[in-house]
Amino acid sequence: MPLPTTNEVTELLQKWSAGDAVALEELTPVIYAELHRIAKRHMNRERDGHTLQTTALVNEAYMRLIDWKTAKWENRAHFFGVSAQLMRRILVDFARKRPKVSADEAARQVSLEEAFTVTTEKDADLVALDEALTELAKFDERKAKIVELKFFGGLSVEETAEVIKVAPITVMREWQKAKAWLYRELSNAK
Amino acid sequence: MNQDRWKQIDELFDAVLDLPEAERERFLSEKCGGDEDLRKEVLSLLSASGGTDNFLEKSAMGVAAKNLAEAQSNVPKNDILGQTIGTYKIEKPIGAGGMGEVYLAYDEKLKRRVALKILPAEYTLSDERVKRFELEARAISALNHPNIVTIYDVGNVGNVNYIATEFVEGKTLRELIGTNLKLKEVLEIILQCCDALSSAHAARIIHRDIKPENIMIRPDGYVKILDFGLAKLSEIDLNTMKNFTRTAKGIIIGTPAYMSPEQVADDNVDHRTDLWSIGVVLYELLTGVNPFKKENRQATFQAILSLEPPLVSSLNAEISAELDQILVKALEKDADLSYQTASDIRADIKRVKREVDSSPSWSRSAGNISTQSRKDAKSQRFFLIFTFSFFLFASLGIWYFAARTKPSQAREATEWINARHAQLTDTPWIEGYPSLSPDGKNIVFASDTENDRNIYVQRVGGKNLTNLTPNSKESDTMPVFSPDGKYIAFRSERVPAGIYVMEETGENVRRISDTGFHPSWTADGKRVIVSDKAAAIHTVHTVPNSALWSIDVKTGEKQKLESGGDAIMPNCSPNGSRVAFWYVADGQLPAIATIPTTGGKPVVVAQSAASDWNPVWSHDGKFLYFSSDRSGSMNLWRVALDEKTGAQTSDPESVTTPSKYLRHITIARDGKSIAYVRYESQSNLQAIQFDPKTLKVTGEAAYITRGDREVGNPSLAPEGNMFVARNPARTQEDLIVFDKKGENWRNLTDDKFRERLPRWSPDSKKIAFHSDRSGRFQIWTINPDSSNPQQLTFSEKTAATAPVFSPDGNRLVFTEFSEKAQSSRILDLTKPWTEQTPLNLPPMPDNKSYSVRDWSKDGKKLLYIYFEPDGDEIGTGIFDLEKQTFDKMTDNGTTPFWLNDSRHYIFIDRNTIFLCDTQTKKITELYKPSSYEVQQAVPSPDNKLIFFRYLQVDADVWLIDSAPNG
Repeated sequence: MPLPTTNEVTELLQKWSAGDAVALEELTPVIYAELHRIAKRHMNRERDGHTLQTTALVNEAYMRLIDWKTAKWENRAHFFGVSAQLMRRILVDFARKRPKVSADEAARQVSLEEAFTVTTEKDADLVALDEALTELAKFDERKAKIVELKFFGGLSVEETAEVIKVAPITVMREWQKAKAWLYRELSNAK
Repeated sequence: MNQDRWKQIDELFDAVLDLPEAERERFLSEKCGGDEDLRKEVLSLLSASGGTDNFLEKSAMGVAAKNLAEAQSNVPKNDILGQTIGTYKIEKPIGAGGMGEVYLAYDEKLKRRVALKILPAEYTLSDERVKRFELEARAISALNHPNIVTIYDVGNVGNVNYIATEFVEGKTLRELIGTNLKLKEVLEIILQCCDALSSAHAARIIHRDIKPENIMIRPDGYVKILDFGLAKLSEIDLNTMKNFTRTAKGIIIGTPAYMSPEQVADDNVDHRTDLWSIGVVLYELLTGVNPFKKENRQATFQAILSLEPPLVSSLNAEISAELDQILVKALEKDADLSYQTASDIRADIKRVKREVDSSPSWSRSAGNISTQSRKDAKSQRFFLIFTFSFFLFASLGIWYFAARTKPSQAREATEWINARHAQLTDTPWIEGYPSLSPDGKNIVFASDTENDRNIYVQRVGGKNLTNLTPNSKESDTMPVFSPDGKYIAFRSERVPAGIYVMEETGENVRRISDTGFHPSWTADGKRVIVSDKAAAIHTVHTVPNSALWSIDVKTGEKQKLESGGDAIMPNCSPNGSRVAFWYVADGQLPAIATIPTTGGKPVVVAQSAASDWNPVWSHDGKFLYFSSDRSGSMNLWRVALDEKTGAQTSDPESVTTPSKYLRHITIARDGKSIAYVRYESQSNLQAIQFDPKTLKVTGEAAYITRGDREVGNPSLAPEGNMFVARNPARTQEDLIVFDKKGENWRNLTDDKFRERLPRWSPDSKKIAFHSDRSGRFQIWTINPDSSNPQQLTFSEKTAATAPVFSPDGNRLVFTEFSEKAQSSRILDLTKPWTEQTPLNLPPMPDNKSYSVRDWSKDGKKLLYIYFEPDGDEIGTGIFDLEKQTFDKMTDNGTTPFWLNDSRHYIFIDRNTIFLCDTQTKKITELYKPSSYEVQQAVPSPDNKLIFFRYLQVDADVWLIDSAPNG
């Protein structure tokens, strides 16, 4: 189960990074299933009146999918990079395909600006974020990569630093600046 | 953007970030010189940076999952309430189930409440999963097991995929774990789960996700398993998965801590996976902890595969070694060494339960009972029971589990323990009086169609009904196969009415007697024995004057059989020596007795304080099977006896069936199967507006209570806020109170005694009722908070029942039963029983008897129902207290209640509420519901509403098959 899962997911990721397009198709449902599992737990927690401990949930999800820490890869950095890229692709695709909600619901949806200025956790529109990130990559690839690794790949600062071969402190600073740019970009877009 | 330009911006931004806020503006202006665009750009990034604290801090996976969660939970909530999907009107959300959101909805076509599960939008109609689920749902709905939530409908409207199931009121086991469930309650829950699994597995349906969240307990104690087959729906599409199925399935199917080792290892999973899960549930119920649940999934899986959980007895000292052994076996890692069938677990649990039932230490958790000194032991015990009830409410909220102690000597008839229970008919009509053909292959029964009752034949296991009496416009009922299977004797109301015989094909119908009910063939097939009267259900107080007759089938020659008392529902023994029947001797409780086939002195068997009735001989003449409520619910029992002498040779044994009310038993000649009618009723309280000035009802009837709880004999407190009602549940018969909206339900009494006909005192401070808690039915009062129970009458007659307060609350009229007569007495409530002789009201002329049901507001007149000398209830009238005269008002009807003007009253007759003007004796129809049955109409204290009991009944034929594979 989780152990073999990890190995198999890892194997698929390796295949994909080696250019095997079929691996993506096989991985997608696994990620979707995981999404549903977390989503369900979200709902249950909301019902129980608990605040969302999403970080814990999601970390668990990543852990279940990919055994980052113990994986002994010849090219660990490359692998992380590939996985984050893949995750981005799958999650953004998912967001894009997500059934469009009714007009009523759309009206209710808070504007991005509102979303980003209130202090409670608000979520990015993954599709818009993906587009902005693509834009960012055109003139600052490192920042874009950091966002991809950290946000989409779920890597820690240290892991990100390992992948792009810079000091963790640099990752933090780049991350901070990337967020500012993306935040401004997404707010303006609205 | 130009990379160089960006580098410039980025570097400046970087530098600014390191500065204290106060210095930033100055620094920027300095650095930018005249490049205003540069300054603005950096400033805007700086300002954006201030808002990014929570931005992107969750990972994309979390964001996607949360968006998904919102899409699934919010959209329907806002959009769907009050809307109609197909024929379902969405009323309110009731939670999230295995797949998608679940709503309470009302099926406007079939007029019933349903739980409507709306699948997440990505399950499209073309989805293979949905198709597969539909197939499985059909298989499950064919099961129609009482412990499995019924799937009514799987469908699609627009883009919405839904599943409509039976709506179950109650709590999930999850909610009950940790509350102080008693051992016998836990065992009863598991037994019912095993029943359900056994039936599902026989149909090759595996649940795959048995866990406390999927097991619901209704307020009446019935267990319902939810989400059968739904686990499969959440499986990832196998086509997409190709080589990846192992992982994919493992990720979602099943809830980790309840998964079986084979689910974890993902070997091919079979029905035994459910048996493991039920073992885990049992373990958790007994100890409060899941034996395998660990801090994360990996550890949990590891535990499932390798951990031997500690013996339950090490965690709960009161667990027996036998139960330990059951759990060790159920949680055996090697499925081949574990339990192989649900019936095996059931049988083992059943044995433990028998021990527990007979052991007093488990009957109540005594540590919780507050002790308060009381003068005599009896009232102290009574008080303790009530105190306990209170404790129970406090700990369980409104929920309670009805657990009535079985008599300790009750044994289970072993050869039926592993039998299969199957439903044979599923019409919306009321089936009755099944009779198996001698070879057990066909079954005849009576069933209602649109207008009349007809006799149908059906192949056992088949679904096609053939009407054998299509040409009769009147009721045809009580069919019985002759011993050779060639003829069917039955009762018909066609003109001329009587007992008829026809060929098994329905041809050559001829009448053999002008009287009689419940025909039974003698062993040689030459005669039919009948009773004068009919009894469809057991009644507590009467078996009306009824004798047995033996009729020659050929000639119609008829002779009365000596039976030593009233006799009804005769049944001839297979070897021709005796007839069993439901018997009431003067002054005795109804019982089961046998006499020689030619008549004679009755020999009583299985006599008890319970209602025993409907005796039927086993194929070999060694047992009498009968219907009895000695275990609380009306179920199947048998007693061994000598067919020649009728002498009882052993104590009665139970045959457990999934019915809460069982009647009309028939046994195949080969003894391998028994069929019976499982009678299910649902009763709720409705109200309709009434104008006391115009004396008319207005508007439509509305529900006060809705759901599975049986509610009867409602009485609304004069202060107008609280109802008391009778609540016959699966194992108990108690009184409940709830508010005028039908909410805040609470047991007023909660024990094995029977409480009936509750009435509020005029000051709303007390509730009077009759109860058998002192041995016989007597009048009691109790406070609405269950405190201060008091026995008011100590009548030496058979029973004192039906209390009615005088308008000033100082007196109470009640009905006394002696043998078959009923009489009314008035008790002075200002004095105890010992200091008075309650006033006897005069007897009715013409040997009729009567029972007072209401006292007029002006205090002058009593409303009564009266009975013919034979005990049949017939009509209503008023008794004038001053003139001491009886005045008959109606020739029919029952449950009369005064309006406040002391002139009009309402009553029920033939499914209609009527109004009677006592001055003119004019009767007006007030309300007749379009469907279902209306009973017990009561005006509200202000007369602006009329409450009534709304009864919905279903009765189907079920089969117990001891040789399902034979």
